[in-house]
Amino acid sequence: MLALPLRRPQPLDFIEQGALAVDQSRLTSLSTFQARNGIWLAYRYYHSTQDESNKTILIVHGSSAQLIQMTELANALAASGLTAIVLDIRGHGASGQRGDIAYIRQLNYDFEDLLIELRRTDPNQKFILVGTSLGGGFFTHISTTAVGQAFERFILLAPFLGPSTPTSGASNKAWASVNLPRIIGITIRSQFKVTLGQSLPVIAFANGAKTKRYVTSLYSYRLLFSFGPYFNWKKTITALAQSAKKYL
Amino acid sequence: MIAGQDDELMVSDAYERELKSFWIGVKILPKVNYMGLVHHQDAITAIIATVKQGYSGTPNLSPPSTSLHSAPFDRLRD
Repeated sequence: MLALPLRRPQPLDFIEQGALAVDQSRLTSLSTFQARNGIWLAYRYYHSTQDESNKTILIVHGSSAQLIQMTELANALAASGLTAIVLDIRGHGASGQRGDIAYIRQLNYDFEDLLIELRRTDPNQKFILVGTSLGGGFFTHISTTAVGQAFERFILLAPFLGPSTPTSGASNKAWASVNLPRIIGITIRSQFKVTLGQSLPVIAFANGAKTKRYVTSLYSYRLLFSFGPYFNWKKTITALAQSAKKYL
Repeated sequence: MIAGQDDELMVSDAYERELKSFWIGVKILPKVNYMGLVHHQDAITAIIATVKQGYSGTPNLSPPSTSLHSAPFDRLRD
């Protein structure tokens, strides 16, 4: 099951055009923080001098992307008087090895480490999460944990809420090719606490050659199951409902 | 929740249909596609407006009640 090859989908033009349309002339300098396992993870800080609040907007990119693609949004937030941070989720951009992480749920701890780092300057700092696509789906993992309590609100931009949900269109299959037999094989092993195989790629994204420099085209099992939402619609809906109730 | 009406990957109508019963506000933006959500001027304006709504004082703006290193989170580590 694990040996079956992962098929790479044909590049999607609208994804490639969108990725290349980013204006990189207004990037701020790259900042880093050290996660608990010693690896340095990357973010960019868009500070607004007009912002007198103690709130920071954390922007999380979507599947296969990286922080550069959030530049326009971050600049616009800063220009309107709001302070924003965009980060490269581990396994993307300048954060760690592209396409893989060390273990499932490591991203939750990275988030915790980032918030601790940001609160060094202001312990009362509050956060708002803006998550795009898979980055929006990621919130279902963290919203119900202690680290989720650090956020005042979650603003989700076309969140990916699972592969077989009413909100996922048929085109998702053109965007991402999944090696289901491999996922099933690794999941069965994981039930017996066998982590062998979790570093293998299980999903490939339809990126073109021109965007290779910016994107992450393959995800390992452990990255996919850490960054994505629960692969169970009921569980996702429950997390959404709990969060909505909390923030009402 | 904000989505573009011309999203190629997501079914934007379904967000409203599936999530309105959970009191989640859904805003669908015309003429915005999947990639446009973080580039298109209308999308950026809508995101800023949504963020600022919170700044003007929605309920539950109190700081987190538990430490980031709280017990439930530590349990995840095991």
